[in-house]
Amino acid sequence: MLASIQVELIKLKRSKIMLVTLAGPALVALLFFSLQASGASLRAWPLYLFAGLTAWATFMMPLTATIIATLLAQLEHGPKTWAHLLALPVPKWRVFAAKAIVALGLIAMMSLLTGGLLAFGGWLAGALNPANKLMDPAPFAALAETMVDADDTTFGDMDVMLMVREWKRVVVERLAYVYLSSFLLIAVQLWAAFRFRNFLIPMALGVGGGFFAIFAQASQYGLYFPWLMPFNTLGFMPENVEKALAYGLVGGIGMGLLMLADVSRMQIK
Amino acid sequence: MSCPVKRGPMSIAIETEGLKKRFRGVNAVDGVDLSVPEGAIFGFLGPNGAGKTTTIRLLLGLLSPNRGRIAIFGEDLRRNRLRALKSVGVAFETPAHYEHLTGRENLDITRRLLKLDKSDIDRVLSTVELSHVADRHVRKYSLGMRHRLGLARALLGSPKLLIFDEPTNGLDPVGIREMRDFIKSLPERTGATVFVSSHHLAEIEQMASHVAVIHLGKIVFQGAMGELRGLHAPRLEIGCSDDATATALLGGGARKVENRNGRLIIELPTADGAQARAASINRRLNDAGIDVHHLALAPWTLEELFLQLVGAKSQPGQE
Repeated sequence: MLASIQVELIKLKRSKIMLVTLAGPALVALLFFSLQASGASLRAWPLYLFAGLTAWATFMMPLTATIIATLLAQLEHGPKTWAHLLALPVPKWRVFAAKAIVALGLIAMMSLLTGGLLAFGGWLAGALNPANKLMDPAPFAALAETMVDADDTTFGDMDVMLMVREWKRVVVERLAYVYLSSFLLIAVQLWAAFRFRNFLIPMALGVGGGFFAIFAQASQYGLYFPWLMPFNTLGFMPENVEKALAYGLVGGIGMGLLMLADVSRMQIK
Repeated sequence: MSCPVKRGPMSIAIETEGLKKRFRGVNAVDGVDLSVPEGAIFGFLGPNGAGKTTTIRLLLGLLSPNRGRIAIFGEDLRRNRLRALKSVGVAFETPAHYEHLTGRENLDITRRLLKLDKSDIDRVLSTVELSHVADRHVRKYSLGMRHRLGLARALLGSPKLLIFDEPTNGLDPVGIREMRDFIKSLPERTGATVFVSSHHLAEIEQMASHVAVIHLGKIVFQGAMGELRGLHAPRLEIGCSDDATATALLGGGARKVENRNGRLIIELPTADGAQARAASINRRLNDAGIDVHHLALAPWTLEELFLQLVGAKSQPGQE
């Protein structure tokens, strides 16, 4: 398996995939840095980071996952190297599994980059202009508790006090949840990307999925929509966090196994 | 309709039994029985769309057959795909490589998957004479270089069986000759059995020791190259000053003389002594006062060979 993964990493050399891996997180970080540097009203670190995470989970992560899955498959569809690769004395499932592992690895890397670059952008905005400096609310937790309005729905049903007291842990945890709950949508995207030579099909699926996620939020079935699962783990509706995480992660592993079983039987004409 | 070759003491590199593959109700490969002797250069001949590439993809497990069995060096492909393919190297019709990588990096991908030593890359690069451009991006390679890189990839790990699908497609005449000479030299250089498909009869004639002819998914001939040659008598093509007199003079008895586009075509009984017969016919025409300005042994086209083979098959009692 290690050799198959190494081979996939060699193929990434000089490919556009690495550019996407860097560009996705950088764009999110740049957007929020620009807002902060221009004097936006986000005064506290948890607000700033959570806003960035929301943009990442709802829009940028599904989009970049779509592009990465498509490009990984197009590395073989484009030059028609599937035939050579699958005629080697290597289990066919291993070829696809290596690509899936690389896709998961790249998206994990992007998640870390997103967190890191968002934090750097927030710090830089404050360093450039002290008026835009973000504050750590934890020392003021006791004070904040007396000020929180129980009916305030700015952050849905999210436990605002938890965000104030333990914002660092919560942000890291939710970043990990977003990643783990994206396994299902990554598996779906990889399946479509492997199956269809025409890259427009997996791209349309990903963009369409992201678009319908906006409407699916209002639906009672939105919880089961793969493109919405990462958003649901952010905790705007706390009762959905664990469900979204479980559906995304376990569903993703199940879907991934089904995908491997199917694409290993792919007929290469 | 297939004709398995006679089994000798030689072992068999590829053996198929009743191989069948259907695409949307059409039999692309229809009951193919192949028997490729070890150490042979086995030509797999057929026009475009005859089922050559489909057969090759079946042999490599890229397509699963609707019916039939495939064994490579005795290993059943369906049951032991990994063991069966362990001794196989393949170069496809269109050389497919990762364009953004160098030639060496492309080979390194296959080398790692086959768990071979790094030095194997240099060995195959030197064999196909690509060492000097090994670190150049493949997108900068000419078509001939890409074909050779495909060959190098097939040679990694010194496989016992090499499968080449239309290896000269798209090459210029010099490239075709180089490729042909290279393939011809392989059994001696590497000890490998070579299975090579083509739609050019002349090309296969110059390379192969054994041949199978496929037409509409069925094998219409299979045997040693000499047997195929024996099936079609050589023909003499004559250009002369007086076609009518020459036809009357040469067309006596069972000999048929045909006038095709101003050239007389005479079928000779056997390939043996064809040149002496041509000289004798030339003398006769000269003695009769007819000037001969063209005299050549005319090659059979693949189309003509097929018509003959398919025609022979359709006659009762031929099977």
